[in-house]
Amino acid sequence: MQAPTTSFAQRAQIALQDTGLQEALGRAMDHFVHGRQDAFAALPHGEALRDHARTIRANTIAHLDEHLIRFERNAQANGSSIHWATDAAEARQIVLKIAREAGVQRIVKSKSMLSEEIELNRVLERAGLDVLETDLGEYIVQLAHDHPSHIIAPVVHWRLEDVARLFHKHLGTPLDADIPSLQAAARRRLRQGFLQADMGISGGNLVVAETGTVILVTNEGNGRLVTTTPRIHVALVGIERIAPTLADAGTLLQVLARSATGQALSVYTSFITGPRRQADEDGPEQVHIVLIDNGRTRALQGELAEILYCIRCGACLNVCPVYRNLGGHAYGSVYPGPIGSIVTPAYDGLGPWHELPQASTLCGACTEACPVRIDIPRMLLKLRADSIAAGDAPAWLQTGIRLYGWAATHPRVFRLASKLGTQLQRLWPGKAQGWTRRLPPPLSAWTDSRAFPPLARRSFSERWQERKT
Amino acid sequence: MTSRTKILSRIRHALADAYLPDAAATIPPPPSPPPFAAALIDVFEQALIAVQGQVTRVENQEAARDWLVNEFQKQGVQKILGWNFTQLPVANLAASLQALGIELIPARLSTATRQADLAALADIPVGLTGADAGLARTGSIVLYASNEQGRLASLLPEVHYALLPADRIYADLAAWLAVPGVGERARHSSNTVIITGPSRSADIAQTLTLGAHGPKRLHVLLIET
Ligand code: SF4
Repeated sequence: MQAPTTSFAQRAQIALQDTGLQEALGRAMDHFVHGRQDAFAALPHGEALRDHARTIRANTIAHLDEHLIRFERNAQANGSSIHWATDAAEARQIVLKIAREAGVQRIVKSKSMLSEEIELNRVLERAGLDVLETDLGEYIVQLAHDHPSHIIAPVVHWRLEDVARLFHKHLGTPLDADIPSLQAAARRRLRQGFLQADMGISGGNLVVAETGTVILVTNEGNGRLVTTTPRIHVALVGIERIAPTLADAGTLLQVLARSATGQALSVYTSFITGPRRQADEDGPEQVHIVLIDNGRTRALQGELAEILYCIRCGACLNVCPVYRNLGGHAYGSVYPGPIGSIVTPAYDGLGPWHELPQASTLCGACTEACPVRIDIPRMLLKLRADSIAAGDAPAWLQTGIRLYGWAATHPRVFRLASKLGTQLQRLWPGKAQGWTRRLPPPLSAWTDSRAFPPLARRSFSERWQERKT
Repeated sequence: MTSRTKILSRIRHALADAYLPDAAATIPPPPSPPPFAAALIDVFEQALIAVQGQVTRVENQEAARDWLVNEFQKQGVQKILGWNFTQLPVANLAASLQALGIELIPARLSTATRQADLAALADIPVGLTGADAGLARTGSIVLYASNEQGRLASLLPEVHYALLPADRIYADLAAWLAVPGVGERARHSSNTVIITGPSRSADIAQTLTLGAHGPKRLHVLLIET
């Protein structure tokens, strides 16, 4: 994954100044959150289903190699071709090779975060192929050379006026066009793409080991078109996105749609089980499934393995106070929000991404919302600890913590320091409502973004001594 | 070493060290919800309406045929993209439509003329299919693809009519998937789709609009006997 050149703090500053963004985000996120709550409230066994979904994911990951082998065997028996890619470059080459061998010129795509992760479009376009994104949000992203800012709603940061201006330029719709006419214009344009494409590229929400099936979920129907009209279908699937049986997949699908958009099920859930059978009326003539590692086996090793339970519903973004204020771009990764702050460093290494685990209040709203109850704060803390151990923290923090650690293990020094602090704070002016709002450098690094509680007039150890006597 | 072996050995290596909370030795059976108090057909109808689908109940096959004939006449329909008549759960439909001069066109793409075939099908305004199952809780219909059941019939037209006999309705996705033989059937069909309402998008300004790429209107004809 391409690491950004600016710091998280810089990007966050920019996002925080965009009040329009926060307004749009707040509205959209509330909508998603309420939708999810209502959808689960309507389900008598919703909580039990979440527990069951978690067990399925945990058990599946624990036997990942066996499930993948079984999937491969069954998918091949259905006539699908299976490809394995260790990293992004290999995955791109596999897709390019399939396209070249089949003489492909035009490609339609349905939304796939994995294709963003491996930066597929860039390579296909450089090879002279026409690539058309067909999810309405992704189409907007493609026209504007933007990036998705949410894993479920790619253009949640776009306002109606912005879309109208973009479509006016590219599709000739009037500047004051309403939403239905903008959508109709996109439908006409993209329908043309579906009819002419030689190859369709999709993601895969899940694959099923028992049947060799790829499951694809969309609301717009572009996922169905991408996998039906072109003669070749290529599905990009992360190696962790597997369910042992159709029944297991059924459980996951029920919690996925409810958590993602508050729907009981998405509009179209397709089970793709090989290319068209010889006598079939329609469907693709070739189905290729690319199983992609690209850092997932790295995440599997050790204490971050639980992140591979994720089914990418986006619920943790919608409830996260940090995401809700910043939107997705500030994170600088393909995967924003709480899930992104773990998968990005877990797949790609902490080095360029060490700031992401800090972008959290550890409030736990993500775990509460997560359909498979992933303990996100636990892993954020683990990453923070790793980051400090690797020396990623700024010097003032490292020195500060070392000094504090030294004082805390030397009672006399500690007592002296807190006495001194209590005296000094009386003279210090930067107080309001009992809290210290401003401290001199280097302590200002703390008070720039939060208030400091005042030191008690009598310390805990003083009072402890009194009680003992 | 191939990439396949490399990935599988990386997985095995990593698993020795992976912390996987709540990984039970086996997956227990899924939780089962209490049965619905209302009849499944009523639950189905309510759920489909809630996702902007349309529902009409008809008593039997004859009533279904009359309703379709009337509806198509009213709309001035001339061409329908559809499943083979043998797969539609309404007797003598072919003759009735023929009498009206309505043509039922199969969603057939042949290898040699694929793109021309597609272009010819793209503008047919109405699709007509059966439904192999219904899911009450979500108001969904299940359609298998086969040599007589083209998938484009439920996808390309702006309006999709689906004929669902009430005795094919199951409580929900889990109940349908638990029916013996369903896995086999899904496996033998290259494509199984679960459709829950008309095509929709909320990408522009988080505002719901119907008919993003698939049908704007989904009308399910529920045949009670
Ligand atoms: S971590 Fe949980 S809530 Fe977040 S995207 Fe993954 S499954 Fe959804």
